[in-house]
Amino acid sequence: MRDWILYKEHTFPLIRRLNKHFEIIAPVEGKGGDIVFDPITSEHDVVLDFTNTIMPPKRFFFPQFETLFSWKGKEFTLAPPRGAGLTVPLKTKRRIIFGIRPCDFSGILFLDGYYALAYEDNYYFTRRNNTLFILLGCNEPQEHCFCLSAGTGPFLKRGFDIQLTDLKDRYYVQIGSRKGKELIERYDYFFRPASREEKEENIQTVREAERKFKEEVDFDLVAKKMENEEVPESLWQELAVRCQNCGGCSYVCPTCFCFNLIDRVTGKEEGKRMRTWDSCTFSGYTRMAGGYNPREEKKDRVKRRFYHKLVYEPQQFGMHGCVGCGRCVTTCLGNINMPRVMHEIMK
Amino acid sequence: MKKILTTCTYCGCGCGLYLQVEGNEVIGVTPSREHPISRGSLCVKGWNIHEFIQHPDRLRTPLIKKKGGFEEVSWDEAFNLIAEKFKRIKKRFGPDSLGVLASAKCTNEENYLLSKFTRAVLGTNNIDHCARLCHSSTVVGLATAFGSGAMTNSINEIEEADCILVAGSNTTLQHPQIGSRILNAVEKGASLIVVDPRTTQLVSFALLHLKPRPGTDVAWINGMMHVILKKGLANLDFVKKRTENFPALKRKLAKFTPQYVERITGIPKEDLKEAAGIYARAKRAILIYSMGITQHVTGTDNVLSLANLTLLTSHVGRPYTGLNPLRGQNNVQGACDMGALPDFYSGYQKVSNAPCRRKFERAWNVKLPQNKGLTIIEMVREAGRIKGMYIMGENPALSDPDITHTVEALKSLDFLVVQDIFLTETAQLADVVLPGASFAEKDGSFTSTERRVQRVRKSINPVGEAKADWEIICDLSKKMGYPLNYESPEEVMEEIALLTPIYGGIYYDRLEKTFGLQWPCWNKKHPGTTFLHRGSFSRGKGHFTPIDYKPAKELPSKKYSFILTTGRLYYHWHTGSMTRRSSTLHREYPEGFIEMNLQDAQRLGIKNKEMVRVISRRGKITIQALVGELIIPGTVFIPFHFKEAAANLLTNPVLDPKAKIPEYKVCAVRIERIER
Amino acid sequence: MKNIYLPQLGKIKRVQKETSDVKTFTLAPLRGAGFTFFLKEKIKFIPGQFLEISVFGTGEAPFSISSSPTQKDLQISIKDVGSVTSALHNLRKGQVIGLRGPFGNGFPIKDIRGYDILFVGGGIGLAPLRSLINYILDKRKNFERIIILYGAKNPEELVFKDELKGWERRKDVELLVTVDEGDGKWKRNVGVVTTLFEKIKVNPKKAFAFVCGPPVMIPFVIEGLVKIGLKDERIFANLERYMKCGVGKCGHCNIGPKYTCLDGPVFSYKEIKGLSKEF
Repeated sequence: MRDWILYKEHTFPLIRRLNKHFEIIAPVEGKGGDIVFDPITSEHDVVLDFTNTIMPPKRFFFPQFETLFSWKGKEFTLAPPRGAGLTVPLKTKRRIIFGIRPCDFSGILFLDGYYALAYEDNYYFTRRNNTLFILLGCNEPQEHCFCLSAGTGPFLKRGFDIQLTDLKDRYYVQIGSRKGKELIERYDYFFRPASREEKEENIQTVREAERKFKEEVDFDLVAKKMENEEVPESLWQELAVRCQNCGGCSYVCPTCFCFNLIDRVTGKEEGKRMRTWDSCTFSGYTRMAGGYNPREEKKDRVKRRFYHKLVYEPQQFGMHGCVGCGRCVTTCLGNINMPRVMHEIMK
Repeated sequence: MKKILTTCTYCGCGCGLYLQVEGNEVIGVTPSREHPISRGSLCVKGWNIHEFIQHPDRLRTPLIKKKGGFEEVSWDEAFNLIAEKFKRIKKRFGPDSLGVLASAKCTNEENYLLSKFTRAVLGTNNIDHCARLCHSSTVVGLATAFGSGAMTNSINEIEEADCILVAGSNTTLQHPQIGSRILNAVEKGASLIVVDPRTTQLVSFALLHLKPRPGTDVAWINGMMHVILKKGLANLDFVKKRTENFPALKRKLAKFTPQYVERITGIPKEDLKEAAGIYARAKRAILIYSMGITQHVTGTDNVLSLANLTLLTSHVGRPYTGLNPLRGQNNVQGACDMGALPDFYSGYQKVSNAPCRRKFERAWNVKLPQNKGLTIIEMVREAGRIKGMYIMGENPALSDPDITHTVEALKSLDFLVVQDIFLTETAQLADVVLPGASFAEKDGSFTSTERRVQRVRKSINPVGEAKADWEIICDLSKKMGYPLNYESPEEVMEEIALLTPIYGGIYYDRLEKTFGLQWPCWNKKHPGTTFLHRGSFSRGKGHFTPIDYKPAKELPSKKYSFILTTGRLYYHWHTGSMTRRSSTLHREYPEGFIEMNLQDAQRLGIKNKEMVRVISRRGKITIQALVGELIIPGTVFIPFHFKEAAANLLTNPVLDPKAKIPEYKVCAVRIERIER
Repeated sequence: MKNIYLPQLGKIKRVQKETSDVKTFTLAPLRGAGFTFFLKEKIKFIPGQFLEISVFGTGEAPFSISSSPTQKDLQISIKDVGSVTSALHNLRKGQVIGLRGPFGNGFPIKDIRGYDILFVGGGIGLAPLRSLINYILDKRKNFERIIILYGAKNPEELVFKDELKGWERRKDVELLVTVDEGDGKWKRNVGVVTTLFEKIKVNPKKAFAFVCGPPVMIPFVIEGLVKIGLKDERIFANLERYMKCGVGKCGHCNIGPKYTCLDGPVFSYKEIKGLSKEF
């Protein structure tokens, strides 16, 4: 497909135009100066020179806390139903996620695969299918980034709807899907075809960005070593001592999909079933009714987290459960550091 | 969806977080990465804070007890009844027959207003709050030694220390951010010494773990000082220039030889010597302590002893060096600062000090009582004298020691009003229940353990007819004939700044631009204070108080052969009214337990996870036994969160004579196996 | 797109007490309540599959179907061990529940025709096996020997007591029962279920084995079966895990690269062998 150029001075007018037809979720500055993904009220909210956000935009498809359905009526206390029943509150808008980083978008691709396995999660896909993703590739890796090793950045080759590369005064625009093509076609007056020189400049920019990575790990070799059980138990024990069971690594992870289902009684004859993010580092995550817990020891839970991301998920989907965004490193109170653990495994 | 920056309502660390709001519903959390404390992380409670906020169990309307049951009523009806009852009690029995408990969960502005209401409208100084139960011994002890009862340093300074001594604090669980800073310091090469009868997570990172028998803290601290003096590691130059009363201390220390200390505490003398050497030789030594030090009948003595230790080694009053009590509640520091105490107005201005009183009388335009009021435990213990109580956001029916007595006392009151967000054990005993707002539903400020005053921002409207607590106080005050007219909490803070020197420069516009200001902040230009006592102590010279070792009040006997010590878990907060309504937190620890040593369990034939009966002179509970080696033999631990197996049915209500803090950390119990 | 989390309403047709803490519930989906059913009124399933049962206000939990698809009634048999089970135990005939399913793989009913079938059950673990046993008994001629080894803590805790008697009376079923602790009246075997292995002769070349019971029991039984000479791929265990969604989304029941709810709950020993001590 043909590549395009969007001048930076045209970016805000484009966003303004898009915002008339879509809900735009983009990096905005929170009150404390933090860059977070949120729906914009004006195109001027959008921040495009940000280091990666604290959390990935996963929650716009898989919210931290959501009502799956609610019930109302006498039947839920005793007698058989008479009309009343279950209500599903799920509503969606047409959305654009603007400025999502390749690692986070790779997380979305991962969830696309996972949530379609055997049964489709309609809550996720209702939102997902209504969304268009405009990626912003990364010219500068951040402190804990290792997407290059994970194969999820700093730029993607496919999978996206639209991907932007920062060429100083302009964005190099690549189209990766029909949805993306249609969008560009509809707003074609904002774009012009990329020249041969610009194409070359884009390639150079990507190469340069890739060269800047300090952190490099070999996911396949690590997985092999783990599969062969060549990792000393003492490593997991050391991590377990550091882990403070906050669940943060799962909450900030672009690929973590676990949730718990809970019921809340909201009235005499009414209530709702909700789902809330969960984490495999909690002991209640596997404890069964009656008290038996197959992963009672924290060491086993921490170990499993790494096995799941680095070994089992590649076995299941051919995709790593880690996109190399480094968020779990930033959020960990015990300084557990994914690339460092991988280096440790390779020792 | 939108994200609103606010301050966490759980512990004293004071993390900055964004609440994710959709419509009028909080559906998630994002930690602030720019915030100096949260730095992109939260503990499990913070991460799940959205779950309790709009829980269906929230109180939505005022309730009045009629014929034994609660009836939903209008705010007007509730206020009229309260005003009438309080006026009648005041007229008949005098203002000192009324008592008020403020709340370390509520904002500074709310605590200030409640203090004003108590003193100016009810006309009594009978106001106190849960700081009495956690750090009153710190306030008294450090006021004596240094002149100011707060953390001398800031949380982030801990990372730069080269020696950290943690006494009686399960820091990674109770102050997760501070625990994380300790880990960082250790990674950078700092030596960590943990003093605790339990093997906490921090012990894994410690160079030394001293395990004293509960209640013997003065002995090991004196022992360390004895060793330091003997080895010539004291900073006598500092002692001479910046302290007073050293000779008396020196005399007192003479008998605390390592051998003598070992006999009392069980700490091997070699370990004590080594710990003393490491601490004294450090260049930047941070001493951290918490409830394990304060909640004793000798709580003030313990704090004074630690202060002595820092003075002797000059480990105070410098960057990365000092004595740091970790305050538990999100705003327990603030509630103290605001004068929710029987003897202080805001900013620790004494009610007994006539010029101070005159200042507040002028500002509040009313004559103020001058005698010191009663403390929490005294109010409850003197229920005969106290006829009516107003309790805002506290749950003494589960959190006081010996709650059987507390519940009886609360029941015997003529009139009890409880303002809370859930129908707590205490609220169930009330005549009138007022629905307050959670931290997500109001504006205000909290003051964290490092004296950082930061904004709390309204994210959603209060549930049902609930109101912000400051509005409730204002409305009630008006009904009682003393209108409190404030447009917003910001206006309240302006009054606080005017009347409170240490908050003199704290205004909302300044808090907007930064992540808060650390007091003392004397004026609008003052940048706030990172660490205290630079150059000189708040009181001038550091004061040594010689302390003798006194055993705990209730020692093990033949019939009650174990020492029970109580505390908290990571997943739960205090009486569990919030955390037990959060599915993720509750699932981790759905019920209480008693932690005991394997040797003891084997002797009694108790297996892991078996139910046992625990009996003290005051009550008994049935609870699951967790058997292991994380606690020393002879001592057992029970978290106090669980009403079904309430540790405080067992605890001893004996008080520290100076600070009136109860001895939660030591009482004698017996453990019985339940025959199946 | 179907809503995979929305239950169909059903009601309790009958409650039968098995032991002091086990009850069998006969369930029926409700008709005409105006909901989008994604199940038919008659639930078709394979023995070994499970249902997600909701007690609205308490929550949802997975339960193996204990009746056979060849029978008219749809049944689950539940031991009162947690919040949902306890709420179920408090329900009476006519009360409303939510149903999702059937989920999971079920037993490999097609592959076992013409073989000897050995069942090893412990406690409430007999429930999913009962579904397959009755299925096989209804198609008896397609199978060779049927051996049932069943153990419980004590005689009171034996479930499906009437049915056990019925199986015992049948000439074409070899049933051996044991308890960990007998009482005065108990005259049969005393000991854990693996002690019954010595009392039977199995031709490992001709047999399939199906195991279900408490997590601590399963590794010992499998060890015994391997010793008898059964091949790993002929030994099947019904694994229990803390499970929420039942459809491979919530993550809880994950063991290694497998999801108990999708890949199981019936696993061959060959499949789970590598998963070390996790099962």
